[in-house]
Amino acid sequence: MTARDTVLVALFAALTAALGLLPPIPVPLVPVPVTAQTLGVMLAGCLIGPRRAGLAMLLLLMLIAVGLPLLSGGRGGLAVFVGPSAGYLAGWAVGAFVIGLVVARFNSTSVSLFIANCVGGIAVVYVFGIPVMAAVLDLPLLTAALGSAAFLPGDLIKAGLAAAIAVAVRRAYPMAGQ
Amino acid sequence: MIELEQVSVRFHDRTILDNISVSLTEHRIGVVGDNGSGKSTFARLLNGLLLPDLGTVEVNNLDTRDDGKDVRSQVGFLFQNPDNQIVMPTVAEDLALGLKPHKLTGAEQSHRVSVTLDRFSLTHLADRSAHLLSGGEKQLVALAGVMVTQPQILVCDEPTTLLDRRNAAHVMRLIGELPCQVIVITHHVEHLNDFDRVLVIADGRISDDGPPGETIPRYLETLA
Amino acid sequence: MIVGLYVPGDTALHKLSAAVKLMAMFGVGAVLVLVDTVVPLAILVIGIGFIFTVVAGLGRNRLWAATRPLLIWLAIIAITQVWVADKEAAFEVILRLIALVWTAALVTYTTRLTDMSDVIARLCGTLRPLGVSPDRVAFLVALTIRLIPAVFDTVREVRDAQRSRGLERAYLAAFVPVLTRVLRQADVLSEALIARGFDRWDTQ
Repeated sequence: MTARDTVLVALFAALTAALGLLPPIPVPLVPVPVTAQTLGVMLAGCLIGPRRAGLAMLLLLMLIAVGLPLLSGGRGGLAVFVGPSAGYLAGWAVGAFVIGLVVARFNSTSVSLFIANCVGGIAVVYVFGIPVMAAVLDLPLLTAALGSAAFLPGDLIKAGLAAAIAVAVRRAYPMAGQ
Repeated sequence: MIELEQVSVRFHDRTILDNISVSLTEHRIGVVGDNGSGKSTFARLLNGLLLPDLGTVEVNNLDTRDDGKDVRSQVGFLFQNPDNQIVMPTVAEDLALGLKPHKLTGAEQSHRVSVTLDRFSLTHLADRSAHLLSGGEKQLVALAGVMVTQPQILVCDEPTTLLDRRNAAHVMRLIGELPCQVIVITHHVEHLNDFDRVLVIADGRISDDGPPGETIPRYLETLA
Repeated sequence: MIVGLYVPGDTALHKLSAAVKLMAMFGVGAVLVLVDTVVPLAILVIGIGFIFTVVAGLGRNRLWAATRPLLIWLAIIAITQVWVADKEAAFEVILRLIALVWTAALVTYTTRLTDMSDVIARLCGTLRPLGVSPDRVAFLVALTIRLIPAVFDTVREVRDAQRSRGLERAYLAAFVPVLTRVLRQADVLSEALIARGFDRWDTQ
């Protein structure tokens, strides 16, 4: 890893932690809180490439595991890794990596970044999150999936928001991701 | 000793430094110039952070292009913003970081760190979080973090720009007292009166060169 | 400055090594999967709660703090399990979840950040053949801990600026400057790392 890789990985882990401080994004008609934190997962994937984005999320999870309260609402420690949302957290690392892969394949228009965010930031995260939640809560997979659907509108909005931010940032700072 | 020979640096189609040849041998050298004159680029050439597009930069007969790592082990660099230079959570840890390539034992390392902290009157801050220091303290920690490695040459890129007058004077006095060769890029010319030599950079060229008593008044005249 | 969840103390649990506590946590997890009747599970929960509050001296407030994030899930279990299966099954799942989360929180609250990091670094050491250097991992952890408060400040500044302009939801306008600032900082920081000898560190 070069000095730049190292610094970008640390900065995006820190940024994703910092986004947990922001008040939840209000989404009309959706009762569940939508935290800004998964925005960090998507922005990392869109801006710093698959390897660095995945490592940034792994690093954040490591810091949470050793006892730093870096998840939204000041949660942290090992408890979050044995709870029902543990799978979603693992999904962050893989999801950020997948977003980076998809972004690297296509040109970075807002539409392709949005699709990348939906694939990596939503589909992949749910693929890890839903089965773990079903197992921990002892629910049928389908019930768990239907339950997660409540988060879908918020996640779609975040996918669009992250794509728009990433496009603007890449225009202002063309070196991003290199 | 640093030797620049016919050095040019271009960025896209803009020439930042244009055919500079200069030999830096004096103990304390100041470099002044307006914003955008190329003086920051000049600083980065001296430890191989930046390589020239044309010409060569040699530090103690080592070419920055071929021996960048060895050059940087001899040339310390103090940046304008200490927030970007201090990379460890606490002050003592940050000083120890610079010693990593030296492969010292734990005891030797902590001895070097505590001697350096003491020299810059920072001992009371050893276990403090770097984030919670004042601006002046941060720049002193950054300076100590460089000097703990005992470089032969210290290059400072506008080390006082973000400091108030009192802290700026304090940092510059400490830099001026260092036994190693120091090259300070600054636009605070009042700190250079005791220096041995002052270069003026304008439009990518060395426009003036000599003892501070001569060059600084001439430089200030161009500002009037 | 970022403060960990560790609660200082000198009880037997605080003195136990981090690796032992982690293994004990996995042990509790395995036992919980094997037990599938309500009464033994309830006894286990009471036991862990006793160790948490009294033996480790963490008190009832912290036990409550560890439980609170679970309430929403407990409600979901209660509703869906009664609907899908029966009350007995709902109790089992709830007790199992509480026992596991309390155990994990107990380990976190009684283990210093540095001790836990050491265990993780040692685990990373086993990945050395894959090119993972525990030394680099430790540096990344330290660098991130150093950068978190600075990035927090950047995000807070932008949030306050938004609020003072009455733009509570102007996320797009706010995030572009945050991100460009972060990327620019990456350039300067990596330059500083190289100036400070990053490329002369032994990766061994």
